[in-house]
Amino acid sequence: MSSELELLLQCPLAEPADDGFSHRVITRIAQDRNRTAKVRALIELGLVATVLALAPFTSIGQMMEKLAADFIASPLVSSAAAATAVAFIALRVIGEFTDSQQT
Amino acid sequence: MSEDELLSHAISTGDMSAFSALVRMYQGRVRGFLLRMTRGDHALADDLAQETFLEAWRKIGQFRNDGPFSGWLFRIAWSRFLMTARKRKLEPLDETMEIASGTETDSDTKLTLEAAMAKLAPAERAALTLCGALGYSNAEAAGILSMPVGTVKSHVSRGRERLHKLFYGTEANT
Repeated sequence: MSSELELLLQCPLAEPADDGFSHRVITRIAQDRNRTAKVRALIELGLVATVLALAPFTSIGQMMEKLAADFIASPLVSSAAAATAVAFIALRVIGEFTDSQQT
Repeated sequence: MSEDELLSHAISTGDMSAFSALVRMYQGRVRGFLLRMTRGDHALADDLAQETFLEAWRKIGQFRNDGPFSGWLFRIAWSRFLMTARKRKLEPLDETMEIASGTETDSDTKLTLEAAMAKLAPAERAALTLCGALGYSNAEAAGILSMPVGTVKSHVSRGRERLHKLFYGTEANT
C-alpha cells in the first residue's frame, strides 16, 4: 500500500468553522424543550380537568369536597397553600429566566 | 471544565450550558465526518449534524460511560446518515470519474482524496474515516457502525484497495 495514500488517510478531517452552528443547535434544543414543557402542561391540565369534572359523581369526590371545605376553613392550611403556590410560581419564573440566560 | 465533568453535569442536572460546551467541542469533527459521508453536501451535513446533537440531548440519560462520548455521537450521526440515505436513495457514484495524481499541491491532493472517497460505498468511507482520520480502533469503529469487527476490517481493506486503484490505476500490493 502506498505510504502517500496511507498518510492522506491519517490526515485529520477538514472541520468546518462553527459559524453559529452551536448556537443554532442550542436554540433548537431550547425550543424543543419549551414545546415539550407546553405539551406536558396541557396534558396535566387535561387530566386535572377530567378529574375535576368527574369528581362530583364519585364517592371520592364527595369525600374530597368535605375535606376541602375543612381545609379551607383552616387559616394555617390556607397560608401554607398560598406560600406553596407563591414559591412554585417564583421557582418557575427563576427557572425560565436561567434558561433564557443560558441560551 | 473537562469533558467528563461537562458530561456528568449535562447528564445529572440537564445543564444546557454544559451540553452547549460539548456541542462546541465536537461540532467540527461530527460535521467533518458527515460532510465526507454526504460527499461534500454542506447543507445536508449540517442538517444531519443538528439532528445528531438534538438526539444526543434527548438521549443523554442513556449514555453509558463504557466508551468515548465522541464514539456515541458518531454512532448517532451514522444512523442519522443511513436513515437519510435510505429515504433519499443516496447512491455512491460509479467509478468512471478520472482521478488526477502526481503533480498536485497538498490541498489539491486532499481535494482529490475527497473526490476518490466520494466513489466508495458509504460503509467503506465511514470505516476508513473512523479508523484513519478519526483514529478509532477497528473494535471502536465496529461499535459505532453497529457491525462485526471483521466486517469493519474488510470495509477498510476494500476501501484502501479501491482508493489505491483510483489514485494509481493499479491494485495495491498488501
